[in-house]
Amino acid sequence: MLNMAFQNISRRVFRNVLTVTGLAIFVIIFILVSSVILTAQEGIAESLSNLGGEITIWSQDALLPFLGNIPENHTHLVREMAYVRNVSPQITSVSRVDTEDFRLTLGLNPSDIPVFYTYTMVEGTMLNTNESKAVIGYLFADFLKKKVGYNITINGQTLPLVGIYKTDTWLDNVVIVPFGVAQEIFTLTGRASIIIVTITDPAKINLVIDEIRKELQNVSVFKSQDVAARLAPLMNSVTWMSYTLFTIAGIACFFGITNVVTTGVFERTREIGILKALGAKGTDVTKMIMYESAALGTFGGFLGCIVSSFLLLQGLSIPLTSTTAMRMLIFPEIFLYGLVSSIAISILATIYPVWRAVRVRPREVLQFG
Amino acid sequence: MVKILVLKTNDLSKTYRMGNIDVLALKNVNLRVEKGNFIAIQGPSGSGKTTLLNLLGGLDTPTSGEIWIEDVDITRMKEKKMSDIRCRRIGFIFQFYNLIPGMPAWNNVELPMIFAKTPKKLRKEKARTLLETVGLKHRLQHKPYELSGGEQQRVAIARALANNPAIVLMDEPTGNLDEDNTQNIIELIEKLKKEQQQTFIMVTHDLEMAKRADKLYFLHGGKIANTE
Repeated sequence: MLNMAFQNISRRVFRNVLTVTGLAIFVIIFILVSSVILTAQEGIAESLSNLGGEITIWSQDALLPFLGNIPENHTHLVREMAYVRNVSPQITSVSRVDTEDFRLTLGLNPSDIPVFYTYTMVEGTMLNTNESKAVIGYLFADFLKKKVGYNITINGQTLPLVGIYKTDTWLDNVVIVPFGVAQEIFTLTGRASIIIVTITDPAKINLVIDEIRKELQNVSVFKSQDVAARLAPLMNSVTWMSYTLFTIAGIACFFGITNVVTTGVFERTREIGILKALGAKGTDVTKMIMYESAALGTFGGFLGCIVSSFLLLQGLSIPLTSTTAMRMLIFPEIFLYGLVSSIAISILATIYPVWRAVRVRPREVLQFG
Repeated sequence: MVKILVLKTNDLSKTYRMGNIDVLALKNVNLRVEKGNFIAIQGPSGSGKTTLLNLLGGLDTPTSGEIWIEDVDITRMKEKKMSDIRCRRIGFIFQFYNLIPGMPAWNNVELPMIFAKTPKKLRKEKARTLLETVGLKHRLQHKPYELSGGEQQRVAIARALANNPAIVLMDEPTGNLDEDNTQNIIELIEKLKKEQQQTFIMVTHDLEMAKRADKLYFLHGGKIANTE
C-alpha cells in the first residue's frame, strides 16, 4: 500500500509539488512567526529584567516602560519612605541618534549608574557629572563607528562622546545621557519615564510597594522581577492573534488539500474501481489515500522545517529599529509542532476524498459486456 | 475423474428499476460450472451478459436466486466479505485490460496478492512465475504503456490468476486484439485450463473463439436460450 501511495504521488508530480510547497510555506510561516513571538517574549523579558532595582514605578496606562510619563517629584516622596535605599528616576525614549531613527536613549543620574547597572568600560569613562555628555553601548558604537572624542547627535542636540561601555544586555544598543540632559532633549522637564527603587530589606518589599501605591496616584508599582510578567497579557494577545492566523492558514491548507485529493480521487475513480474489483477493501483504499496524504504532509513539513532552520541559522533577525535587530532564537519544539501540523492537516483533509473513494462501486466503473 | 463444482446458480434473476418500469435483465438462470471448464456466453446486446457477469463477479446483487462459488453462497454477502471473495476466488479479465497505468507488469500482477495479504517475498516470486507462464518473463519491469495490447492482456491474465481463483471471468478478452494476439490468448487460456485446471467463464462476440470453449451458452432476453 505504501509503495502504491508513492507510485501515485510520482504520477502527479507537478500537482503534488505544488501541494508540498503550499504545506512547506504554511510550516515556514508557522515556525518563523512562532519563533518571532517566542524570541520577542524572551528578549523583552530579558531586557526588562535588566532595568535594575527591586521596585519599578511607571505610568498606570503605559504598556511599556518606554511609554511612561510620571512626575519627577515622585522620586523625592519615595526616597523619604522607610526601607528605601536608592531611587533612580529614568527617561527611556525612542529618538533619532545621528542619522538613525527609532533608537533608544536612556537618561539617568550618573551617580545611579554603578548602583543599578553592572558594566565594563571598553573605552573612555562612564558619565560622572550632569554635564551634556554621552556614553554609548559598544554594539551601537560599532554600528555607528563611533569612538571616544567623537560627537553624537540626539534629536538634533550634539553631545561629546566620553565613553563606550559593555553590559551584555540590551543597554549595549543604547546611548546614555545624564537625566537632566535627557529631560531637556525630550522636553520632559519635571517628568520621568520610570522610577527604579532599591530597598534596604528585601523582606519589606511588599510593605514599600503598598506605601508607594498609597502615596502616589496614577502609577503602577510592582516588583522589578514581575515586569516581564506584566507584559504577559500583551504577549498573550499577540500569540493568540498569531495562532488564530495559523488556524485560518491551516484551514485554507486543509481545503486546498481536500480539493487536490478529491480531484485526484475523481480522476482515479476507474482505477479505484479496478482495485476494488481485484479485492481491495474499503480499508485498503483508505490506507492508500491516507498514506499518500501523510507522505505529502511529511514532505511539506520536512521541507518547511529545513527552509526555516536554514533561515534561522543564517541569522534571521527581528528588526527592532531601522538598524537594530534581535537575532531570532531556535526553538526545537516549534519545528516538531510545524511538522505534526503539516501531517495532521494533510490526513484530516483526506477524510472527504477517502469517503468518496470508499463509495466507488466497481460495477459502475467497470461495466462488462 | 472427480468432478468438482466451482460455480452454481439457482434460478438467478435480476430486475432493474428504470423510472416506473421494471426491466427484467435475467430470469431464472441456472448454471453449473465444473473445475477446469472453459465456458463461453454469447448473446446480443441487452441479452443480460453484462448483468450475469456482474452477478457472478459479486459486483451486483440478484433480485432472486442464489450464486455459489465453491462452497460459499455469495448471493447477498456484505461488501467487506465480498471483497475477500473477489480477491481470493474470482479473477477478472477485461476487454480493455484495466491495468494500473503507473505500475510495472509485476506490480500489477502482485496487486491481488497484496489485498490477500500474501507475504512480500512470496508474492514477488509468484508474480514472476505467473508472468513467465504467460510468456512475459522479459517484460517484468515494463509499464502498461510500454507493452502491446496482447502483452497487456497477458499481464491481465497473470493478474487474474494471482490468488489461484476458483473462476476467472473474462469480458471480451480478445475484443481489442488483432488476429495473432487473439490466437495467442486463446492458446494461453487453453494451456492454463489444461495444465492448471483453471476455470474460465467468457463473454464474447467472437464465434470462432466461443467455439473453442467446452460449453457455449446463448443468452437471449435474460434467459439461457440454448447450450452447445
